[in-house]
Amino acid sequence: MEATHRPYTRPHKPASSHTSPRPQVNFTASAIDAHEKGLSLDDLVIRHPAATFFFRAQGDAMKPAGIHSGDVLTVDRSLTPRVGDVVVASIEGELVVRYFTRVRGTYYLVSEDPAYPPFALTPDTDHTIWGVVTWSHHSYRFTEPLSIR
Amino acid sequence: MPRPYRKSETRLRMVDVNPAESGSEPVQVFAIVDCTSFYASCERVFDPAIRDLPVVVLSNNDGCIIARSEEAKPLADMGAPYFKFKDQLERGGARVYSSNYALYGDMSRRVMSILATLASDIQVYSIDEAFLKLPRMPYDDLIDYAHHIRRHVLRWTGIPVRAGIGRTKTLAKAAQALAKRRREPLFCLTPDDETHLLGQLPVGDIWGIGRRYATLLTSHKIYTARDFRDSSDGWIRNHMNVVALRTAWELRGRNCLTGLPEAPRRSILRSRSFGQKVTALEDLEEAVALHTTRAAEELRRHGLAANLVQTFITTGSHAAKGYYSNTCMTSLPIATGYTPILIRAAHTCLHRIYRPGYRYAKAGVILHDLVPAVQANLFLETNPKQTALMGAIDRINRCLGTDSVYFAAAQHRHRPWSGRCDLRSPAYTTKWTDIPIAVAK
Repeated sequence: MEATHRPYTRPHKPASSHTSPRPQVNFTASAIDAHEKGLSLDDLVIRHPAATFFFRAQGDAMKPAGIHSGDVLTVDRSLTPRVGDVVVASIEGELVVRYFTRVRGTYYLVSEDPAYPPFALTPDTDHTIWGVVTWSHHSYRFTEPLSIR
Repeated sequence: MPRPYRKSETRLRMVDVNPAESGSEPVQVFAIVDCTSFYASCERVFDPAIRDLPVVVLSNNDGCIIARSEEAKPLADMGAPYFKFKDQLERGGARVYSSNYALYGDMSRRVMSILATLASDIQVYSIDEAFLKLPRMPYDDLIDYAHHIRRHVLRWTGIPVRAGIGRTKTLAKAAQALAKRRREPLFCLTPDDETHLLGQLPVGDIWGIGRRYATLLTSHKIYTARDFRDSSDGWIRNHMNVVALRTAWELRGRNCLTGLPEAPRRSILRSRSFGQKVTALEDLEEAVALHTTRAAEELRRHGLAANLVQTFITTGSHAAKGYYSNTCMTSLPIATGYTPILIRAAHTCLHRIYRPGYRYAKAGVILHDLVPAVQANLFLETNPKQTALMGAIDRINRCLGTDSVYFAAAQHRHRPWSGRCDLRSPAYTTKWTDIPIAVAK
């Protein structure tokens, strides 16, 4: 069970004047009523918890798309890919991150790096769309994940 | 003036709760949804390269085969020791994994949470199975709906599931058994075809009929589920028990199993075979402390406290240098869930039964006489600091991972006896260090 915030209670005004002075926080009634829990990154980033997974990007082929090597990707399996989406897909047994696009009626997985050619999504090619990348998370300070989870 | 009671009237009391209906009337049914080759399927979600390969998952210690994908079934027997089939699996190109319960547990939670949104009621039966009460709709729509459930779970989690549908839980389970036999992903038993199809199901496949009862039934020429369903109540009462009678009623379409509360836990056992034989008392103490820790976690998870602690050690029946097996039980002055006290009690028992010179294969701890922790606290003196300490430790371990904080007596990582798990896949969904990689290429 997560720790719940203790509800703020209005400080009790002492009846007698002989008590020592105590620091008091004076919230107005409106501030007390408007008390909300803090912002959670989960609420921002995760729409469908049961279908949301995290990946780590490796390689620079998608740098122009804003995905650097080592970034964390939020991937949602429940979404249907749209042209222009960044997706995680398996191409011949390997999980890759690429754009999902369509050219003249055929769907392709393309990367920003011309060294890696587009992959056609036709019945005879070995591929599966794993999920749609909804967020990428780039860190400026911390490059290694915390060793304790 | 009330009508005089006639004994014969009781015979007519068993009204069929769900009378046979045509395909276009809405009915209330149960679906048993289970994941096909669940552990193997979990591994496949994160490694598409093994999708068409035979996959096998091993128990703790990499001892036994506890899961096989469809392709692996001809290569090895379920439950068999791994070393027996190791060569055959290698020749068949099988991929072998140590069990990764962190992953399987997380994937199971995802599947169950999805199923919960698709049913009016859900009862999780095991790590990969759940009973669903489906919304009322005609049989034709039910089949479409079941396919929708399958597609939805597969899309959201990558786990393929199978569904069996019936008027009662036992009939749903029968439908599941028929689906498994025919290698189909879905099977629906309607009242019209129950008689015909239950005639194709052997009695051993009925949910609730074990091997012994199956032998008994076949010896009395009751071979199929239909035969059993049509046996008389009297016969079943005389030769079997009331549980079997309820099973028969369920097969007839009468719901008897809903609303039964979960049986309270009687005892908690934790044990494991050692990776290599253990002779020193210190090593046994550590193992016993570990098992006690795990058992105590389970205890607290259910809000219970234990009155009795039992320890057992054994060399196993195939001991080369002599067989020795013993157990000892001690009672606690106050029922508790406080790990240090339980460890101390378990060690006291261990010291009474340990004999040097033997090569021990297994040790374990059982906690008996469990009472609600609140009850224990109310009537006897318990130390509130202990309760608070265990609460804090449990919270930390839940957040940061099992054994982030542990009692020194229960040191168990990197011990020679602590069991092999070299073939375990990463904790893809529960550790940031283990999340899968997507290559930008």
